[in-house]
Order: sequence, then structure tokens, then C-alpha cells
Amino acid sequence: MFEIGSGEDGVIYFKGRLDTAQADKAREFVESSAEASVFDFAELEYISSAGLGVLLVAHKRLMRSGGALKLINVNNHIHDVFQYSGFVKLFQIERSGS
Amino acid sequence: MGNNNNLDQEIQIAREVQMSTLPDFMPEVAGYDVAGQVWPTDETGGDTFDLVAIDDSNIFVLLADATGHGIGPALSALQVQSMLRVSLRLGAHLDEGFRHINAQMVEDLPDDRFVTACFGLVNTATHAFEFHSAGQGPILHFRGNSGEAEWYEPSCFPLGFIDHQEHYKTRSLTLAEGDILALISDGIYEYENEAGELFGMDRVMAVMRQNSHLPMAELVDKMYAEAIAFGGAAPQLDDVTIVFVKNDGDDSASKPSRRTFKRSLASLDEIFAFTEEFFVSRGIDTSLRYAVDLAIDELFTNMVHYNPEEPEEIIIEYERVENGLSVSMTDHQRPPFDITQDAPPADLDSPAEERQEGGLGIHLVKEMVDTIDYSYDDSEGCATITFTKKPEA
Repeated sequence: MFEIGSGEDGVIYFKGRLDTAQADKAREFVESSAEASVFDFAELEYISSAGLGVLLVAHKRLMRSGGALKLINVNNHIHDVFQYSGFVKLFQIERSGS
Repeated sequence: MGNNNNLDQEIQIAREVQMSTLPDFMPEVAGYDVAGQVWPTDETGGDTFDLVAIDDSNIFVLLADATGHGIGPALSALQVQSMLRVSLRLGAHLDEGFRHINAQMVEDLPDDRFVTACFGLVNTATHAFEFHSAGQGPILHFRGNSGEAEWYEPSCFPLGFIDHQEHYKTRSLTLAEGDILALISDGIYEYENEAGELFGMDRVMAVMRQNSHLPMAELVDKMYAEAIAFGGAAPQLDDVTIVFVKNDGDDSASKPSRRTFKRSLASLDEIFAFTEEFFVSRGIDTSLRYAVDLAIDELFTNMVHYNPEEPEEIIIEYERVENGLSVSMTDHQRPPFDITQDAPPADLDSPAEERQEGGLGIHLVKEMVDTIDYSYDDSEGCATITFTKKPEA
């Protein structure tokens, strides 16, 4: 089960499990809210490499207009994935509780 | 004197009736080891228990304690046991049985009397214990693989205390292999020594940790013996009842589990459900879940992506290994493509502008699992990827 939506604050909220089968759903939503630069992962349990691709594309698009992507409330497992993929060097990632 | 003799005789008869309702033998259920015992203080006590196979896949488990001592409480405990057994045998749901029996006890018992009871069904196929704990606690779920405890407090008021308990729903816990469900009456937890100290939950846990390998009948006796030894010269003041239910594992727990999946990303949900089932039924450490899910997600997606026209389904097989698990994924592919050797290295260092989507999946798998091997059967055109994962030391 994967859900995605945006709040009044412009933040995009990710919820559940972003597996490869759900990556297109995430991609479409993120593309439709192109200005959003903060993604809240508080309720995201899982992400695979297909989800990383969605984040990379979003970050590159924001960079072209002088912005940058920021992830907040990232759980430890997902943070490991960002570590292994080198994504920790690409944009700002805040762990949950920080 | 004559009157006293009559009373003694009646108490003796009541005790015989009460003891006759305790199970004469323990149910024999494949993969389970169960045992229970009562040590009353008076001629008749207010404790009772039950352990009985209700049908092919359910064991009824009960520990009940009626307030007070003597014939009255013994009969109340007996009444609860009989009503529960019959209602469950007739196929009543636990919630429904609980509600009706509670209402009956409210009607029958005087205001100052009630019965605490933990009761439920262990499903020997799913290993779930669904239960109510009416004023009875703590309930101990002893984890065999870690030696840790999960304690459950009472979920509602004792039976006969108040009507309208219909909104209390059953709780559920899952007994992984090696886990023990321990229903122990307060006669143990509150066993008092000469210094006025109580035996307590910590001492119960110490006995569990040191002796969880014993057959349950021996562990029941051991627990009682430890409490008596702790008490020293102090006498036993309350009934003691101990009921243990252990998921002892059987051949099916060590057997691999294998399933085939359609070559489509839509299969991922089914695959994750299969993984969940395997983890729960085999008691695999849940901290391994993320790495296993990710590895399967990436490898399966690759198989679907690079071989879309292949009609054969993809086989996934799990096997428990010491502390962890081994996963094999078998796919038809020609020519062989050894992802452990032939996949291009992942780009981890370029700045964002230069990084391309994709190419990370196999890299992540290699980072997150402990071992990964590729083998190829040329005659069948079959590739098998096997990876293992154990908790970090």
C-alpha cells in the first residue's frame, strides 16, 4: 500500500511502501507538483531503487530552477539505502527524530 | 465433630469434582508441546486451567482464578471452564462466548465475587493465539530466539464483575518457533518468602531463560519448584496454576517454502505477502525484512524487465538457516547473465547533474545482503540467484 499527497504547506507526504510497482504513481504525482521541494517520509516504510529514480529526477528538475530537494523524517532503513546509493551526497536528508 | 466430618467429606467430594474436570492428558498436537498443572492450597482452591484440542487446528487454553478459597470459588471456576469449552466446541466466536459467559456470571455471582480468566485459542496452523484476558495478568509471551519477554496486562474486567463487556475484542499474538505462551497464576508471581519478598516477574523470566529447552511438563514442575525453593520456610499461601504452550517447531518449520509468481510487477504484492507469511511462521528476525524485500523487489523487477516475453513463471524459495534465511530465485533466461559479475558498476560519486536514473538496484542488493551467488543450468536455461541474510552480530 502506497499513498502520496501534498499538504497546505506544499510538502509532499509519502506513506507506506514505495516498491517498484508503485514508482509510476509517485513519479506522476511529483511531476504534477513541480515546485514542491520538501518530501516528508515520516510514514514511508520502504523504498526501492525505482523510488530513488523518482527522487533523482525531482532533484534535477529543482536544480534547474536554482532549488534543491530536501527529505525529512527518513527512517533508518531508508537512510541506509540513501547511504549505499550515494544519495546522501546529492541532497539534504534529515532522519526521523532529528 | 459429626458436622465437621460431613463438611470434610463434602469438601473432599467438591475437590474430586473439580480435579476431574482438569484435563487427564495433554492434547497431542504436531509441532506443539503443552502442559498445565494446579497446586491448590486448601482442599479446594479457586484456580483451574484447561488445555484441550477443540478441532484439528485449535487448542483451547484457559487459566482461571476465582476470588476466595473453598467450595464456592472452585465451583465458579469450574462453571467458567465448562461454559467456555462448550461454547467453543459449538463454534461460538471468542468475543461472543466471552460476552454471554460474562453476562451469566454477573447474574450468578454475588457482588463481591468474580473470576479472573485468560482464555483463548492457539491456531496451530497460523500460530496465532487469540485471547481475552479478563482481569488476568500478566500474560507472558516468551520469545525463544531472543530470550526476551512480551508482557500483556489484563484486557478487561474480570468475569462476573460488570455486564456490557461487548466492546472488548480479542487480542492476538503469534507464537514463532521456540516461543512459549506462559499463563501463570498470581500464586507464583506473588509467592512470598520469609523476608516478605515476592517471587516476581524477573525470577519467572530467569527460570524461563534457563529452562526453555526442557519439555513443557518439566518446565511447569521446575517453575513451581523454584518458587517453593525461593519461599524457604514460608508456606504456600495461594493456589498455583501454570500453563505452558510452546511452538516446538516441526518438520514444516525447517522445510523450505516455495512459490511461483507471474512475470509482472503486479506480482510484487503477492511476493511481499508470501515473505511476511514466511517470516511469521518461521520466527525470522523482522529486522531482516527490509533487506530481503528490497533484494527480491530489485531482482524480480530485473527478471521481468530483461525477459518480458518468457512464458515461464519465476520461482521464489525461502529456507531458514541459522539465525537468518536463504532466498533462491529461479528464472528461465538465455543467454546467462550473471548479475553478480556482469552488471555495470553503479555510479555513486558523480554530481547530481551527471547521475542517471537506474543502475542502482543490483548495487543496493549487494550492499544489503550477506552473500549472493549466481548459478546457471545450461540444459534447462535456468538461472538461480541465491542470497542469504542474517542479523548483524
